[in-house]
Amino acid sequence: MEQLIQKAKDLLSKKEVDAIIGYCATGKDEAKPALIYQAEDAGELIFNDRCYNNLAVYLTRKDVKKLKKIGIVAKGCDIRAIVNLIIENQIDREKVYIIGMTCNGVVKPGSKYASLKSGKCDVCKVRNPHLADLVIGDKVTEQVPMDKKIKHADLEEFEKKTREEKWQFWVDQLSRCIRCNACRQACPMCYCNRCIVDYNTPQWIDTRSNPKGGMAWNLVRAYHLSGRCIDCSECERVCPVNIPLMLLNRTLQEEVQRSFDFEAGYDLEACPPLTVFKKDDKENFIR
Amino acid sequence: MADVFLTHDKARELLIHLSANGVEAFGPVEKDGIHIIEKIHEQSPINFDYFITTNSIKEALFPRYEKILSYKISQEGVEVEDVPLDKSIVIMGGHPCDAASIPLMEKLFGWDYKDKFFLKRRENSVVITLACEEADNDCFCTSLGYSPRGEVGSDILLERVSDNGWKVKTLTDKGKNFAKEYADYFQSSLEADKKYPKLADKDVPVQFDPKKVKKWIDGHFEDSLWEKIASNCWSCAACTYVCPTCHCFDITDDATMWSGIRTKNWDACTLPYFTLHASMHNPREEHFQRYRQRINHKYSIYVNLFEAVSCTGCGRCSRACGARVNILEAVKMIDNAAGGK
Amino acid sequence: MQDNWEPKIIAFVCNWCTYAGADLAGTSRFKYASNVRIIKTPCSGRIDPMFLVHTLEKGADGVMISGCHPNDCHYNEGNFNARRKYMVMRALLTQLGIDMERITISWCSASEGIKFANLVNEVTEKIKKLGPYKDIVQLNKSER
Repeated sequence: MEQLIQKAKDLLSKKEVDAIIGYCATGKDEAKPALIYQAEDAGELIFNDRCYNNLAVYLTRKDVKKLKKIGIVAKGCDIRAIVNLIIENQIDREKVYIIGMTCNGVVKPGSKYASLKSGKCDVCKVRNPHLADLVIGDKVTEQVPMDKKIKHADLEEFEKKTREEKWQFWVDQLSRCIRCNACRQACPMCYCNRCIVDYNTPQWIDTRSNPKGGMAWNLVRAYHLSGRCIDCSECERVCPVNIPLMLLNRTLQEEVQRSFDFEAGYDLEACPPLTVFKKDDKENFIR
Repeated sequence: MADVFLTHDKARELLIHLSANGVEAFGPVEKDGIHIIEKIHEQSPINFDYFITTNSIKEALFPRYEKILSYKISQEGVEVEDVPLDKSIVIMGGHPCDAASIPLMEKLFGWDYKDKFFLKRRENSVVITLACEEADNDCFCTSLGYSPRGEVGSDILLERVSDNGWKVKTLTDKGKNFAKEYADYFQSSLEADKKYPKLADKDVPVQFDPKKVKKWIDGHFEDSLWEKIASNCWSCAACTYVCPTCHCFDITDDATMWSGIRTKNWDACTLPYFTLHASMHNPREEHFQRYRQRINHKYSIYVNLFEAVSCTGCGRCSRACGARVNILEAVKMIDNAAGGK
Repeated sequence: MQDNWEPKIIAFVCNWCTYAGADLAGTSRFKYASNVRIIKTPCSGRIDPMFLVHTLEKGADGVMISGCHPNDCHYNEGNFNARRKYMVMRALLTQLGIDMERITISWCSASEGIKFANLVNEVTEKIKKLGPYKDIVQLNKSER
């Protein structure tokens, strides 16, 4: 923590960065994102296991994009998002100063997701930051090896359902969707200037928050994240009505890994899998 | 008048009975670890043991989407069909902060244009409110002149006397008639538990003065404090959609060449495209401008129009926010900035 | 199910191969079921998976997607890109519980008029057996 505050102060006072995106404390047992512009405010920065927000989402916000250089406090999953933003040409590597934090997993108290550890942190391969200008914290020894195939337990359970059961499950879940767009706005990969739901000529997606609208919106959201989702689970966490959105995202993560042998957010040289192809891609479903 | 009581089981039965008999009954159901106010069906998992529901009761009177008309185009011309609004509505399970929102929204929907959808539903509805037994750091109803046991907007107030029952307090004629009509479900005695009532006004401290806040807002439209307040807002609409008093909507047509439905959907000032002009100019381009609008509307514009703050202090927006933007903190910051003025 | 019910099938086809193939089927007087409505697109790469969902949502009972065989694309790589998109979309739709039996993806060249005609007949038969697709359309009935 000391080291983090000191570094932030240094960066800000030497004008090496215009602002630092980090976490600060709230009144409760939580942490919240904070944008620090002045060196004297750097003392507010904290880092602990309640820092579950993915801060990379702020890198593509209008006012932050205008800044010349920006510092960011980032866990492994935030860095995966940053890597993806870089390969999709949304930010320049030179423009961000990444303060990588080693992370033992984050927890969210007082909710169904009492521990996010059972979700994303369980399969996390980047507890030690894989791309950073400076790494703070002790090296974490327990970590899933990089070459291990991801397999999510909740997905395995879900796939036992029959087609009809699945459909009924999603109708129940998605009819609850109030279309607040929290999932979109919290997602570091959802940076489009204008989202497909904001278009009305043509109107692709039902504007109503009825079961059909909820279904269409969540389907498109998941599809547009295929091969890009970095498993930070923010969409699911911020959903005010607790829709298990990661089930959809993880389906696509696993499909992309199975079919294209790709995982998003690790390699700066990689190409997003849906922008490239191989001549011998599998096509057993095509007649 | 003798005291009347209602147990949880009877309340559950009553809601299901109502929904089976053509009444739109709204009640609290538990789904995947959260409680939401929802239209009740036979199988609904109704549960009254909660601190506060995620959504507010506004959905019963101002649904998140509603058909306002449908039309058909033929050689004879355009045929427009209205939507019937004669169903009676019973809303059970909100807290006093929910119920207080109804008179507030009524002011707007009955203002220059009379919104028949809201007003008609309001007329047909009976609001049964549960007095609060718990409060957390995000609650601040007392700061706005409400109370955790408040009666504003309710027809019937249920005050807990034991783990599974309430004392019934009828407040309006509508409430009295309802209690009379369904007298079978109520009972004349119930064993009281000493631990209730758990919560009094003093347990929710007054934290700011809305008059002072309004004064500051009026004089500081352009102030760097707004950027600080909303620095981490990422512009979703979770706060406005769970808010009991936010009432913006958008009208869209879902149509083919010859027929269509016109729908009224919720919309939110916090969404980036809310104010986008056809010229692509957006007067509220930045996140903090949109959040400023939200606070400004609640604490100043509404006061100018209707002499009431359009916020009931339920704290739902703070709880729903994924970025932890907290309305109470925001208003307190303004209150501090206003200082002793 | 009504006795006179006939399935509605929408086929999205590419301009260069399958559309020409369908044309060939017509000029060669091969008979195929009239349940199919063909929508021509410039390339199978243009067939956004959203088309597919939108079609089912609007009441189609089956959807066909067809384009040039790999390496035959008029734009060189359109169908390769399409292939990846469909692969991902299929995984998603399967997970959502949408009936994948109703979605047929095929390659069909300009000379394969007979393949196209047979495919349409086969798909029509299959959809007839499955009956009308109500899952998504039923969602339309809003409560209010």
